[in-house]
Amino acid sequence: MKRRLLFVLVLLMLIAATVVASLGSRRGEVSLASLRQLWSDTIRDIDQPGLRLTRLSAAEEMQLGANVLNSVSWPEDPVAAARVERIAQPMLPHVHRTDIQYHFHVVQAGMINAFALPGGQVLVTDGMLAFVQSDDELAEVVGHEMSHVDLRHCVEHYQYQYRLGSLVELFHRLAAMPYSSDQELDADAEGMRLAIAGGYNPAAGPVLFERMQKEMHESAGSPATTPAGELAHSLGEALASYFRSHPPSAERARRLRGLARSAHGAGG
Amino acid sequence: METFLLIVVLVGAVIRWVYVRQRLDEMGARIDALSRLVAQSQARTPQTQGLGAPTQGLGVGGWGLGTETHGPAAATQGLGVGGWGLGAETHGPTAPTQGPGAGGQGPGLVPPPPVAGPGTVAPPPKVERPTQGPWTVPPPPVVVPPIPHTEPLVPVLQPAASVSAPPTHTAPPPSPAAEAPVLPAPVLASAPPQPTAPPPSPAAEAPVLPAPVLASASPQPTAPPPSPAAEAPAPGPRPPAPVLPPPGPFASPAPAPRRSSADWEAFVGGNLVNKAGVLLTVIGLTLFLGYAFTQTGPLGRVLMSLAVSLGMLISGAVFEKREKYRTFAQGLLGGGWAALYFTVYAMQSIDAARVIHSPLLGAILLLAVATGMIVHSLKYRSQTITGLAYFIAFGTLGITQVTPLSVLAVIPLSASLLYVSQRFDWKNFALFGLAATYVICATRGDNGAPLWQVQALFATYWLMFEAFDLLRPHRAMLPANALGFLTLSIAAWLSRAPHQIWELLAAVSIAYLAGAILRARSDLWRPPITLTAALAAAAIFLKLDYQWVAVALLIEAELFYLAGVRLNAPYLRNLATGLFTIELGHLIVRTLPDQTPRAWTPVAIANVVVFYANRAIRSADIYYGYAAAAMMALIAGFDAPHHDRGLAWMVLAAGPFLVGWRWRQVDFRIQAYCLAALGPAGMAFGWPEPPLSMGIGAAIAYAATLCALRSKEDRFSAGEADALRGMGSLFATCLAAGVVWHFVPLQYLGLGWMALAVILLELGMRGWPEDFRRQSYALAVLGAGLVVYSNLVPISNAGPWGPRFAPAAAALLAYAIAARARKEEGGRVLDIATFIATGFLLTGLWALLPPVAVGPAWAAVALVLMEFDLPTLTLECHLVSIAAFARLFFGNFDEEQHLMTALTVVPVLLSHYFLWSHTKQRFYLYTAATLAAVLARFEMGRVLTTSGWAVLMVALLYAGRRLRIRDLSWQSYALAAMAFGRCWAAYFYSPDMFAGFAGPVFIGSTVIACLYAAQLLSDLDGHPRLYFSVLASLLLAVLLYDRVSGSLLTVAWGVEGIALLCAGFPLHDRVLRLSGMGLLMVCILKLFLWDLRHLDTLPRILSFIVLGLILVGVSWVYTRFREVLLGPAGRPDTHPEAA
Repeated sequence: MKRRLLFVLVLLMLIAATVVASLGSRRGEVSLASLRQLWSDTIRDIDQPGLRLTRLSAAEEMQLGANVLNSVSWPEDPVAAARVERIAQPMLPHVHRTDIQYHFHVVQAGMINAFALPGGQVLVTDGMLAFVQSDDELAEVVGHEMSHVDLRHCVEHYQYQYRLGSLVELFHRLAAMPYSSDQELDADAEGMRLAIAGGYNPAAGPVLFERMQKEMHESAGSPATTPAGELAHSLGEALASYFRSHPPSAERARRLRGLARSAHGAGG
Repeated sequence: METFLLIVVLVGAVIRWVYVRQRLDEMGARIDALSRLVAQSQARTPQTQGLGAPTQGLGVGGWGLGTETHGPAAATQGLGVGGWGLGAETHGPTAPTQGPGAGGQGPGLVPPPPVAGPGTVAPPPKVERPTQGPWTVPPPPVVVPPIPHTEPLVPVLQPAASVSAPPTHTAPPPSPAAEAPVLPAPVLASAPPQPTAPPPSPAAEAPVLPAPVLASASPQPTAPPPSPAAEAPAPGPRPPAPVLPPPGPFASPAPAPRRSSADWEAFVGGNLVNKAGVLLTVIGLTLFLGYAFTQTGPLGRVLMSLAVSLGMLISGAVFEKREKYRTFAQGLLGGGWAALYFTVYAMQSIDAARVIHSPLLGAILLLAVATGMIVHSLKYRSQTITGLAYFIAFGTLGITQVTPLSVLAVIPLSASLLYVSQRFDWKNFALFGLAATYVICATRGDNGAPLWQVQALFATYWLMFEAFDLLRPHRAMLPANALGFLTLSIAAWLSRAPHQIWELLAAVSIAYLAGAILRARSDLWRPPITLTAALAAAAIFLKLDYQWVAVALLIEAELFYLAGVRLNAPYLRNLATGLFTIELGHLIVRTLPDQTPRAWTPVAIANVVVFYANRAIRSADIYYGYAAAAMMALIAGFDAPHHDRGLAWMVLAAGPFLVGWRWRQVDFRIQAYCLAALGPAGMAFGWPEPPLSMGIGAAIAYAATLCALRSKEDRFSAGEADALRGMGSLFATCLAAGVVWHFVPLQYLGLGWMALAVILLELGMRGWPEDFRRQSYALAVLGAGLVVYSNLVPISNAGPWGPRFAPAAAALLAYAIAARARKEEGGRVLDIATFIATGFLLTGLWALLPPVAVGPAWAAVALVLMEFDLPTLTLECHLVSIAAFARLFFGNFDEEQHLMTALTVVPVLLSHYFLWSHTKQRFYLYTAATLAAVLARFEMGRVLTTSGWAVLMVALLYAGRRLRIRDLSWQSYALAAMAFGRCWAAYFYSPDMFAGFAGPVFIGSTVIACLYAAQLLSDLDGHPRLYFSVLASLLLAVLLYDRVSGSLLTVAWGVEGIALLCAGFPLHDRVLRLSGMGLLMVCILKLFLWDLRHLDTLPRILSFIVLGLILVGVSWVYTRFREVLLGPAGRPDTHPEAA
């Protein structure tokens, strides 16, 4: 009797779950993103012992960053760099690694981009400066790049090369590919934290990425409607995401929107 | 001139060879007769052989072998030594001269040659026989008859024939193979060895004992009547048989006696010299003629040649009367006739000798010479010689330039030949004449004579040979005569009246019909009646067109058939069958493609009527019934309205079936089955068939099925009812499936067939009939395949609902089949149907539900399948559960849909635990734990999930210990490792946690607390306790490392070590204590290796002091709680629970 009751109970739960899921407004996307995420987590955890053992000191990292910056010659815009630095100033006190000295550069590359080098070297292109429509949006961008430094994402790309040589670094980058997108998401979240801490509007982040999605013509694609299509789409998407360095802008915007909502709720 | 000389030489040689060959034949015949006599006597007197029947059998057999293959030689040898037959194989040609020598009675023959060759090979089978050659053996009186003076060249032929004639009923037939009766076992079995018994007949003893003994022996009752030859005294000397030691049955043959010089001389002088002489004569004659040609005119040359030719003939005739010159004389005669013939030929045909300018006269003279040759040849009673003479005569007619003479003169010549053939019973002779007649006539060509004259001449030929064939039937005569006559006649008609040839054929057909009637009492009427039929058919073909040919052939065939029935002649009926076949072939091949159905159909219907009438007239001829049915099928196939052939065939099948069923006629039922089988085939090929037709066809098939089901057993043959039931139901099923195909759109045809299969299954289960059951399986499989093709392959989970419902509907039908036939076929139906149904159901749910709901739905299916508690369904339950588990990873783990993820994953997780509780399949524990861990990951984030994993770890460990399930404990170990690794790798921090309440401390404390809790839950002495303890302590150290600044880290770790020690004592946990001690040691090392160099003075001092105090405290604690460590009995502490 007890077993029968349990059976009915579990069956009702399953049916209820099915019904509720069917009545939900969102259709849901079929992919292997969950498996890719689990795999990424695993690789990332496995990668940590090696990174800990080869970790650079702050001085070494800053020297490395300076060397990398000096190895290439970008035409810079000091006036614009001053604006970026001004935007970053409120966020600097809230970084974890206080022993890192940040330097901000604006390079004339034409494209819409921003990136960071080990040791606190943050570079923003003039295209990005033209693309952002507010200081809040620029703060999101700068905060994102500062977070890459603060979370050691930048230096981790050079650690093995610095300690063990270029060949080891090459293998490491191949191994670290699955979670490079996760690092971008982490940097998005940490950058938003810095922006909020610096007094900027967190709502600018999602807006920025939504506009970037349109600017970059990133299409989400239509969902598969056949079993074979589902499988092919899932496998293809999983394979593509493995080699993708940045997540799609839509996903980043969606996540930032959720974080902003949480931050707004937490803040009262 | 050279050609003429060469011809003369060759003809002379041929004539000479013919003479010699004739002698060989005659001698062979005589020796055959002697051999049979000896064999006969041996077969009758086995007891006289001394060694018993088996030995005699072998000996006779070996001898018989030689006689079979080389009769003349073997027979001769058999007279001397019975075992020489085998050796005779290579010496046949010499045998004729030996035979007479052996007999000693040959009038004037050459003495036997001393070398008898054959005796050197085969062992003599008779021990009693002497080893001398045949010439030393006294000739047996029974086989050496006196030579009549009137037949000098064949002196022994007649007496020998009389010996081997039927009166000696124990003698075998004259053919070589017929000598086998000498050997067989009955002789041996019926004649036990009686060595002392007297010989039964003088003939039997002839080869064994001396002639006087044989002569004094009284004949036995079983012996053949003594012939005159047998009573003749043996002129030869007696062989010294008692003196010579007899050889064993398999002893080596006696060495061949050497030919004496006298023998050589006789041979060379009497034979070779003769040949050489004739040859030289002919050559000399030709040379003389050549010389004379240069010296004299044509008349002189002809006269000289005639003189020589006649001289040779006359001298040959003179010398022929003397025996010892006979061979010489034969050479002269042959050469004389040859020279005379060619001289006469040259008189008219060669310019150098032409004295006759009239071709007619020349031809008459040549014919006269040929006639002379024929007449002369008759003297020798030799078919070969006379045949050669006739050949020359016919050749003369062939080469003559006067056609009327040629074609007319051949009539008396052929008539004389037929007479000779009849007179001397030379059967092949007439055939030769027939061939020569027609060949000569054919070689003459067309001289433009009127048709009636030509045909009259041919008719005369035909009538002459036909009459002869009636009097002296010969198997080859009639066809040869027909061939020659028809060939010549048709050739003549083709050139003169080609459109009236049918009249010729019809007339000849009638003539042969008359011939067949005249031969009716003999057994030779078949060839003429066959010709009658063939010629009549040919005449019909030539005279009539299209369907009228078929009509006429039908009438002719029917007449033959009726005659065959009336006269009880199977041959006539077979002829009729052949004619019917030709008629049908013409009707189908020629008439049908060219004529409209209206012109063709009446003839075909007439065929049906005639065939069924024949079937009714003679019930044994069942194939007429089949032919009628086939014709009906053909008619329906071409004349069915609206191309509805299939239905027409099925309706037609009803007629023969009812007849066969009512009167128990199996052939009619078979016809019906064949027609019925055509029905569905016609419908298939004539697609699209009207659905009404298919429905009617299905009803007919089902009616037949029910008929087989309900009828008495005696109405069908053995197994027929079952076959009818099976095939009828199969047809009905197919046609019903066709009807469904017609009405249901292709997209849902699979469903339609599956629904039909459900109905058929129900009928089959009720026994209406049972065959439907298995057919429903096949139909269901087809339907399922079509569902796969039409509904599953192109299925989509978006768009119209109809196609998306199809798999689910198919699943319900398949489940219905499985439920209804769950006990059939050993449960295999249940297995297969449920597998298919479940597959359809899963696909249907996928198509109907949004992706996020598919996993729970599949899990519900698995749960329901498990509830039936059947092995197959349980297996399907496992598979579906795995599918649901996998499906969750495709659509349910979403970091942004926490509620939906939990709502859909948790029920599946619980269902797996429930399935584990019911099936005890351990993998459900792992899938459930995996789902829980993954759910925690996606619900709580990358790092915060460690708290969830830690809690889950404790829960699993507790449950594992509580329920004594080691799998749960192992899962807890794995989760502990995962939580530890993630915490250590991430330092308890994740950027996405900034806005939440959780922080590194919370995560760390939660995980560490859970690990310690797990340690406490574990056994005191077990490895898990150590495992959890180490993980927890290390993780605490890591947390301190992350949270405490560098100068205080040593102190913090020291405090942790103290805490561990303090906890270890009351808890009686050595691992905790050792962990604390170890951590303190690490602190000491850090103090000396790191802090001394890197810390400022004060922190460095503080570190030392604090660490020292700590160590002191530790020392005290150990001293204080020593008894706790050792326990009450002085043993190491144990867990209170364990104690």
